[in-house]
Amino acid sequence: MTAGAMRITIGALVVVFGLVIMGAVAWLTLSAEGPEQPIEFMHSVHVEQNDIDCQFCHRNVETGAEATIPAVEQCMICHKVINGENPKVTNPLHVAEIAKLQAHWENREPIDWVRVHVMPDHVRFVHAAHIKAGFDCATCHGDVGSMERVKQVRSLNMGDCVGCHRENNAPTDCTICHR
Amino acid sequence: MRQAAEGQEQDTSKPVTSIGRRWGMVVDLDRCTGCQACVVACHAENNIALNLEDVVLQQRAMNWIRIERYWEGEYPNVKARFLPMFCQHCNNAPCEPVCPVYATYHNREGLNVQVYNRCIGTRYCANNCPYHARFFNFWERDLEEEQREYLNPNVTVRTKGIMEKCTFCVQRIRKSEWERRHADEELQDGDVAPACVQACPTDTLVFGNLEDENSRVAKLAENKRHYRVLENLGTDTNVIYLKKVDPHASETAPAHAGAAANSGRNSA
Amino acid sequence: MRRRDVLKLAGTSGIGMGAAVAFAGCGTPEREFHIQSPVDIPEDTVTGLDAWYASICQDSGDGSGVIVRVKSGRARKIEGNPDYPLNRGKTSARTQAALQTLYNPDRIPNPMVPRRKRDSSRYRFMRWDEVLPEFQEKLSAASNGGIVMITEPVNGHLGMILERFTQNIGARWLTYEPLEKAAVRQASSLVFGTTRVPQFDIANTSYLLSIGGDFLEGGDSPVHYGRAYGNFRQGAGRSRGTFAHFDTHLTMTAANADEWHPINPGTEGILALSIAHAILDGRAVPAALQPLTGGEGNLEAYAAEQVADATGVPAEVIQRVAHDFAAAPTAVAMGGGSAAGHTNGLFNMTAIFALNLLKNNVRQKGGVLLNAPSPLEDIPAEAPVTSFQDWETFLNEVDNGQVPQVLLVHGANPVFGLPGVLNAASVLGRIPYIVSFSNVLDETTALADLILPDHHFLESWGTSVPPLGAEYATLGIQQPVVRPYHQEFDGAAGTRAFADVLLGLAQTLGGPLTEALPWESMRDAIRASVDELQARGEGSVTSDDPEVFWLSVLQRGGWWVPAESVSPAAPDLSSLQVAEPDFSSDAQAYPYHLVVTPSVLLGDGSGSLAASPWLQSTSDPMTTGVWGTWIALSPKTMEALGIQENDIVRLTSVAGSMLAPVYPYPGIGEGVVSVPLGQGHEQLGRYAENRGDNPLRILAPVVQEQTGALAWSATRVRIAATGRRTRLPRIEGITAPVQMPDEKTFQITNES
Ligand code: SF4
Ligand code: SF4
Repeated sequence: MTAGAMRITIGALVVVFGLVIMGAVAWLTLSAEGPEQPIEFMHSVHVEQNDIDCQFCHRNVETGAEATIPAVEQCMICHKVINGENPKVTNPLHVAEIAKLQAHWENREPIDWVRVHVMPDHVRFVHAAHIKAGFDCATCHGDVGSMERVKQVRSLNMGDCVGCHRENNAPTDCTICHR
Repeated sequence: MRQAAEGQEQDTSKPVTSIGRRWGMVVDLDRCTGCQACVVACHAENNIALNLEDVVLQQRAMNWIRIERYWEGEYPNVKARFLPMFCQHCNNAPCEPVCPVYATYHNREGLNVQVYNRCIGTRYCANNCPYHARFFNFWERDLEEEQREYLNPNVTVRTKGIMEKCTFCVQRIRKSEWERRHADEELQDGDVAPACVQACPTDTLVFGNLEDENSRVAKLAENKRHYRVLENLGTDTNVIYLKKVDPHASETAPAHAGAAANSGRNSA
Repeated sequence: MRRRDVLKLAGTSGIGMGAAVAFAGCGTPEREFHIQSPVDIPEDTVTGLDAWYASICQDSGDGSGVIVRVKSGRARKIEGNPDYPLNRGKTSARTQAALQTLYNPDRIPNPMVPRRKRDSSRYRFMRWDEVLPEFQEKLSAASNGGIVMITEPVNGHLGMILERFTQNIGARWLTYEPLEKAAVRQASSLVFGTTRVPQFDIANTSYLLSIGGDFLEGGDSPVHYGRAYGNFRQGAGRSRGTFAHFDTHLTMTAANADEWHPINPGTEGILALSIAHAILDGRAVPAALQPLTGGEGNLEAYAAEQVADATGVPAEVIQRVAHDFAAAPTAVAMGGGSAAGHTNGLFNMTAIFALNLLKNNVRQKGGVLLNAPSPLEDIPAEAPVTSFQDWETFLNEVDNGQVPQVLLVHGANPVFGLPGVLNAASVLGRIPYIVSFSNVLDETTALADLILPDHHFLESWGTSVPPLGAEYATLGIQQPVVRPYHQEFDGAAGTRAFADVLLGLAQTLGGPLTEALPWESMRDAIRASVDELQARGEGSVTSDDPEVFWLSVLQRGGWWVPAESVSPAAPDLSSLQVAEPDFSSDAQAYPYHLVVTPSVLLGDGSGSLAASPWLQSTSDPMTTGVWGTWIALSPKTMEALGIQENDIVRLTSVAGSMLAPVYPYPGIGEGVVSVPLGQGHEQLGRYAENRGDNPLRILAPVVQEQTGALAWSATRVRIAATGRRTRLPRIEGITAPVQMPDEKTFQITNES
């Protein structure tokens, strides 16, 4: 085997290896449980058990580009009373996690959540436009209400977006999504 | 590709398939004072890399919009003329056919679009642009924490190896679009103003839909002073300039700007 | 509270790590794997739209009204406030760049004291409660007249507070303006009866005559005049205005004139009188203008042919301009710039302004409009300006042993701006206790024993009465649009608003001070004034409910009411002395006339504009030079001296010397040298320090007659090559010009 051919083989191997890794990452992102968060926030408790609307916390979703993560102040609207001192909160895990939240509030310290849906920097996504067009949160996010730890259920890569745009006769010009 | 076969008639005034919207700008040279507000506004809006001293000395400074200054005549009859120059969003763009990966293309709204994540940095487009409107990112950004705070969240921070240029602030176009759609309304003339247009104290720059004959920009484009820069190249730009008025033009000035004695000054 | 460093990867699960590793290679910053819950509900979460707050920009030099886009708690973009009467939605380059003075990595984040006295290289950060007691003690001890306060000229509420504070604590208040406009102010008081420089209505005039005026680059408000200029040229429903300009060299304003003529420095007043002579065309000089004749009773000495040599302007040009000025349906005469900086600046400006009296255009559309007064009696529209003469006296006193005990400095940088021969740094350095309120380390702050950093103006309260405003009496309100970037939530460390510190002192020091300044904070002081405005029930905002009124005023960026017409006082020129310019030194030894030009980007170098990389890297309109100082010389002078482009030369005046590379400037005569201001800082952080040179340092300390101001145009220099070369960074040449020699790219027409 000549040196040149060798180099090509190694190059090919690197490419294949890279693809395998990327595939594995995609598979992991989609299949496994979502990432661990600084506070074990459970959507299932809030949505399924207590029937809170998505928009109660993600307030901007109808009007803005970002759905927005609620501020600590907003969590505290309820958790001022729903906490360890409240006899109805019995689960020790819940008590402990709510205590973490209260600590953030008292120390006036923002919470650094781990992002679940990461869009690359060059993508412009406007939540409001999709809600306006009549889509459900679940179309892209899955049944978050029943998840203990949120995970990504759709690939949300370019093919995914373009496919959906085509099906729904939405514009597919690059500048619609790329910025 | 829209190069017409020889002898074949074609209407170059419209993009490939018109959708009733063709963004364009009118630049009234009789108003421009050279104040540079547009230049800084563009930097602030579009997260353009800082042109530090060594970047300028290496001749790699990026200005999506720049004010070219031409000297004319000899002292004491010398004059300085200002010409705002930026991507002309050519309908017949020389930069587009040379891109091997279609990272730059013409969209149906008349915009010459640069898709950053598709760009592989061959720089062919920059070499082919007669207006020198394209700039290449030779470096990765090195920003302080403080300097990240004012970045515009609606615009990508370009990385090393990518070509960039004026986008007509496409993020603002999209924003106005969906804000109107949200209110179930049509986009109105004057809804969209790129950063330079909004800043310009003298109203030199006017932006709008050239296809809407009632728009301010379309009316101004009909002004008898209108012309396009490097018109004879056939680039068919979406930026229309209005001639500078100089009552003494015929007395002192040569027929075109930049007396030969000074023409080297701009091309060092 | 400072945003926590979110770089460290919190996710410890395999997924988190896996994703991070895979993307690290593609350059996605790890920070993007985090999303932050702010502590308080941000206001933009209520509407989902960007939050825009109205405020005032202090960096632009004119207090432009702005609206600021705030997203995720950070200011992201500044635009003009479309309602604000001064600038109507327009902005200057400086206003646009204010984001960089706000998020300046070299801002002083906390109170600090130098580790060694007068050593600005090492500091210790402090908490406010650690430094305030000692500061108060020193102040009380010195309050019998041992305090000196130095600020920039400020109007609005801060002006009022400073005035009352200094008065009641027995302090001496000095304000510092590098290129003093005393001649312009005094001339307008002689001619128009008001020290506030009037608004020249160029938007509606058909003929604009400007002698040395620099209204597009310096002056009172380049944004206001820029907007007016656009309408002057191509405004709807009017024919194109004509603009003639005379200046020592081709400035940016001159470059926009239809005709520009060089004029010998210092002869601007003579030219104006010659134009007046031609306009009068044999008629008698009106009584009001008699003092300008120097007792002759007529202006025959100023006939065009007589002054052509002295002024360097051909007689037929003078006659033509005079004819056009007189014949135009409306015409206005402006002046300023270097014409006002000569020893005879007052005479120059008075003669220029007096041309308007011949045209009878005061309070006429397209003429001279008088500014409305401040809407509130106790809120000054103008700040007192300490003249250069008084500065000299003060420094002499200190030098001779009359040393005050405490010096307070805010917003002014006399060490940078005063001529080098005054040795301001070492003289001021003798004051035993210096406190600076600057939030950047400038040259004056470098002397301080204690630095109590102010908030940025986008983080604090204030007001502004715009410098121009004939149509409306306006009070612009500067509200904090973002939380202070450098501040712990308990306020123990970080920056603190200067006005609030003063008001806090007034509360604790007691006595008449507390009575004069009864407010706890600047916000309360402004609120009290706004309540007064509400009671008037008129203006841009009205409401019966004080709370609604207050919020609406904040939302609009201020309050304004159509101005009642101000009747001008009769012109009274009797105190004027007709004068020739006097140059500091003999023409033999110092053959070149030095013109220092404020940069449209960096201004005169005061403030922290030079710390903004945007302003530093934006091309100077005329030379396209960036990141430095240059010396603009005529190509002919260069040839005569054997100097090439980019050669470093030394300019020497009687007062000192400076170094900078040469730029061949086609728009300047052989006897004139022009140097831009704004650079030459020894301090001011990484982007400004040790860059270029500061021509203010080498100005001869010559005083203007009658005004006591510094005659900053009266310096002559000689030029010497150093044999060294450098490359002046500039924007031209980076892209080839789009102009082709055989083709009309920059097109011009002579029909409007
Ligand atoms: S101006 Fe240059 S970059 Fe812009 S469309 Fe034309 S060729 Fe392309
Ligand atoms: S902001 Fe307007 S007037 Fe100023 S340089 Fe730009 S185009 Fe010209």
